[in-house]
Amino acid sequence: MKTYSKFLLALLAPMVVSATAYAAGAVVVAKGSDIAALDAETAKKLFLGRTPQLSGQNVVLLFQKDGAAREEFETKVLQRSGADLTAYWSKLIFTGKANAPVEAGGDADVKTKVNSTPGAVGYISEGAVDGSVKVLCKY
Amino acid sequence: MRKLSKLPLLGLASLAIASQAHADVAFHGYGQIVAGTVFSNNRTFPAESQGYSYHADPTFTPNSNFALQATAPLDSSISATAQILARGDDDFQPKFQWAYLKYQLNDTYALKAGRLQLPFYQYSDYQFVGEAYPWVVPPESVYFTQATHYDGLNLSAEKSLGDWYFYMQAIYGAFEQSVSTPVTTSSGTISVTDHVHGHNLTGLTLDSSYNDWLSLRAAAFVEKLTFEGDGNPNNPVSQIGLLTSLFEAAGYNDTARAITTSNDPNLYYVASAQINRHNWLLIAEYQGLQNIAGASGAFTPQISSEYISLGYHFGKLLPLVTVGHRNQWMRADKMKSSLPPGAQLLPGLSADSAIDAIASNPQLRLKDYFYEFGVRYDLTPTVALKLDFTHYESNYKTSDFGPAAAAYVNPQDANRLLGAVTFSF
Repeated sequence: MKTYSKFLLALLAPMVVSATAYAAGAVVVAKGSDIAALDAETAKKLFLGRTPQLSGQNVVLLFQKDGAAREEFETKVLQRSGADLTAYWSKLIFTGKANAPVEAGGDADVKTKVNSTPGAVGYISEGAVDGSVKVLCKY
Repeated sequence: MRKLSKLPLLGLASLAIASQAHADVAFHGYGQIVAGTVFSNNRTFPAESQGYSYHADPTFTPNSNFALQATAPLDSSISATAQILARGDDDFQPKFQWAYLKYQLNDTYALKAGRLQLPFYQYSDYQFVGEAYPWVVPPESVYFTQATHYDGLNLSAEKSLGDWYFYMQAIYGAFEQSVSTPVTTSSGTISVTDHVHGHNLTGLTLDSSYNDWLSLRAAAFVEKLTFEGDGNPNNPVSQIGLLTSLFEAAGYNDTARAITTSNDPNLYYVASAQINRHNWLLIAEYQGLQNIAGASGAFTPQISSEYISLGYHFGKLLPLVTVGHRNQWMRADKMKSSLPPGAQLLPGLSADSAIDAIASNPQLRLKDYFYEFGVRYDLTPTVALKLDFTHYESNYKTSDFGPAAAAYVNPQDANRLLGAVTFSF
């Protein structure tokens, strides 16, 4: 039996590893934030400007300027990118429907900004997650 | 006047300076350069809406614009926003298009107060942001009414329910605007100016979105509208003023009051739908405008107009066809019914023919079609190139009105080509 369970573990281990590798990024907030975890669908609504407040606080969205983290996030979560996303956000910004997102220079910049800006929510690549941030969801 | 035009820029600068304490003041902007030409009959495009005027000589001015917006957070839930827009058809004079305080009450409700854009139609609160829609200009069969902004309040509510997202707005306010319109006369095209004043403007809009590919919208507004013409005898609004004084002089005071274009209550209703799925894009919109004051104010135009667009995304390239139809008319029959038979205004001028003469003015009586073919190409995520060919066809014939309309020039068919570069930052 013992041998059998070891065999099972050995079989499952690569699957766990590959599942971890599959998660490309994480939506993060400040380390001590009381914003509750959310699912990818809620994260999508959030980053499409449809959730003005979280835990009673105005949300400040951090979009990465460019790079793989942004690409992954737009493909996997937003399902919008490029000119389509710009056009979508132009409409929200120039009509006052939502506050304009703030640009961040990369994973490190997002981690700094979520901790220095009240209400800030950003996304970073999975590998950049550390103790300085709280993860709301992985995708 | 020149000094006045600097005020908006000073306002934006002081907003930026005042908020230096909060390093978070955000600047954004948009703009477009539009070139256009009309290549038929060497005349202007007969469907100018907001003072846009294209003719045989290519021009870069009418639809070109440039805007700068600053938003400063004043508190965790209050922000101040100013947007200054310089429009080519207004000699690029910078003017406040938006200037408001926004209070986010909770995750559902937000209240805005100040100068706001009128959300009449699907695209009207961002109709100058070329980056945000596929055409060079939103279809003119619907987007030709002249008021663009108002001063007042806007209470909005938003909610996600399952796969649906809802956004509602309740607005209240007033607006005052001077609007220039080209008028075709037998001796050429001239520009006339009207002062439009709307008050007690009250409206409700409901936008809904299903799974991000289906959008449905409905809106209704009531307002009291007053038009004042510039006195030019070719200006239809001034002609109505003249007609009013003729009816007064002849002792038909009730009719005179009914004709005046002042304080007329109007009802707008708008419905639209958009489908954006499997690379297909379908957009359709309808508007109706009705004077709701019975016989009084019967000269305020009644409108029923719509358009439908169909496009297909080939990557960054979006070709699009649009068909638009517009019908605008005066309620001349109602006006006549309130007069005694055979009423005369002046010796030899019957009241009926005077009413017909105004009601048949091709600037007021519109019955036309727009056939458009356009292409949008996204050069980068923030820069797009657009081309738009429009064939305009008027179905209106002054001969339908008999001798009363003899002085008018029939609107003619025309073709227009527009090219644009749009950008945002």
